[in-house]
Amino acid sequence: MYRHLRHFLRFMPLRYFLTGGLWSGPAPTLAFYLAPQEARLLLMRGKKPVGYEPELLGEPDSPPLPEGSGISRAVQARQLLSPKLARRYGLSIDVEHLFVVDCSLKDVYIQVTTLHSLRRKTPTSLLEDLDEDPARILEEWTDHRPYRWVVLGNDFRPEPLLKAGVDQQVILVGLPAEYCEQLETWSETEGATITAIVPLPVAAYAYITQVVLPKDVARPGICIVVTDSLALSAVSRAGKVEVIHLHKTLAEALHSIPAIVADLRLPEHFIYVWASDDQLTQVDLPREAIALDAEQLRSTSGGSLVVAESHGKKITHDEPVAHLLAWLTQL
Amino acid sequence: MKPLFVSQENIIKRAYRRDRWFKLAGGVVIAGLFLQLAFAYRLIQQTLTGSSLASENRILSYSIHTANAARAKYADLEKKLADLHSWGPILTNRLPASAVLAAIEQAVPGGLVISHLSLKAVQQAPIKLSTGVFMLPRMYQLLVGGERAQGSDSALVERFSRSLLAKMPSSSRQLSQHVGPEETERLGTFQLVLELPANGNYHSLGLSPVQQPEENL
Repeated sequence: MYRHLRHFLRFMPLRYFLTGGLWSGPAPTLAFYLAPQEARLLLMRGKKPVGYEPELLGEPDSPPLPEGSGISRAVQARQLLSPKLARRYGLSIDVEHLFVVDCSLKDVYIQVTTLHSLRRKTPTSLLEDLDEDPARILEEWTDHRPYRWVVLGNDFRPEPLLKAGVDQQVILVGLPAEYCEQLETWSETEGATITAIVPLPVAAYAYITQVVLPKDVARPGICIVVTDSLALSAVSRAGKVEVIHLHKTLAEALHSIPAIVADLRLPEHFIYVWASDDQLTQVDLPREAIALDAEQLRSTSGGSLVVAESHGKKITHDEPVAHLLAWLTQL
Repeated sequence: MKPLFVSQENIIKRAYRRDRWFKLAGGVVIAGLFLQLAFAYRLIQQTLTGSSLASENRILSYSIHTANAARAKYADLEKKLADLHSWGPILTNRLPASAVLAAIEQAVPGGLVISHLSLKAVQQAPIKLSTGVFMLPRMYQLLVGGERAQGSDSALVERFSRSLLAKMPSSSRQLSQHVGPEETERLGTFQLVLELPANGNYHSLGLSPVQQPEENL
């Protein structure tokens, strides 16, 4: 108790409190989508979208992208991006950042497993050992970079799992610590607090399981999430994920479906495909596959996302990333 | 949304900014800081006032010390002046006996013969002088005795007493009066005792008041 009190007194944001932070209401959220080649931003006031920036790469201090570093550019910028955009859309400059990052296959680890198979009793002890040396826990681990780890429930709800049975299936997700630190440093430079860093496959799969998949259908489903960097296919039965496969491309993911169906004996199933961009135009989907295109998203999300852009006009955004960002900020 | 892949440090920073309980605690701390500032201001003010008083005290002490040093040079003079000052009431309270006798002589009527007269000092107060102690009389008692001529008026002594009191210093009073019976072979006697204050106001005796010594001496 005394240690916590001392810590609070030492690190209390006194300047923030004295400049009106004591009386401020909920902070607006700036939800960033960061892919190797693009960056987008949705600005939310509470649960209401108030602005959308479809292209941030032209900004002098855009956030660090998964395949590069934006830190040096942020330091050089004359005007910080977050306060500038917050002012542009009439928001308080005291904002929170939410990052959805599209990391490549080598930069993201997602696996369905159990605590028993990893020889640990609790998620906390598993995370402690993973922080120390992942190779002790994961036999196939060869990466020497430090990672940050999160244990999720097998319903893919994007919140850390604190308790789990040893035989309960959990999803272990890892991201390179260096990239997370880059994002945190960038947020600190911008004077914002950081809510979460969510890998795009995790966010998209959570969106599919929580919003798209019908709750009352018992048929198993194969959900494919395609991003610029990878394709994730997972089999979900009764809202629980049973198996996850990561692929480089959508074509590879589609190619693996017959084997998955055969392995798991899924005679009747449906396939949902969520793509972050125009990846669906490059392949032919199987007949039973349902592409989560603009029309599907409108129907599942209850309408189009109509948001003003920097020129002031309100534009309909039905692209998957915009809907995904809006959903995540409302969690 | 729950924090994901965010360091513990940033989770705490966010909680300190966003959590209402931490905001409340911050408000309490800031209020405490402002109170402390008020106390500090008061303390500084008191310290400054105290140092100003101490400085004034030092200046006064130095002045007293200097004055005492200067006064020490004039110790003999001061002693002589004190002596002179003590002589003031002695000189003032003198009773001019010759004027009293002259007044008695003027006031005595023809039917009375004064056979004895005495003047003695009463109610003495000590006054310290460099040479010793002087007993300063505050009051004098005048005793006048004699005989009445045969066939004289019996109220003659009374008239003599009133006439004498009118010439004596102010606030004088008669202490006693005795008139003896008139016998065939011997003259009748009388005796008057008057109390005369030695207050320096002898205007009724025909003398000007004694000049008082100045206080600053």
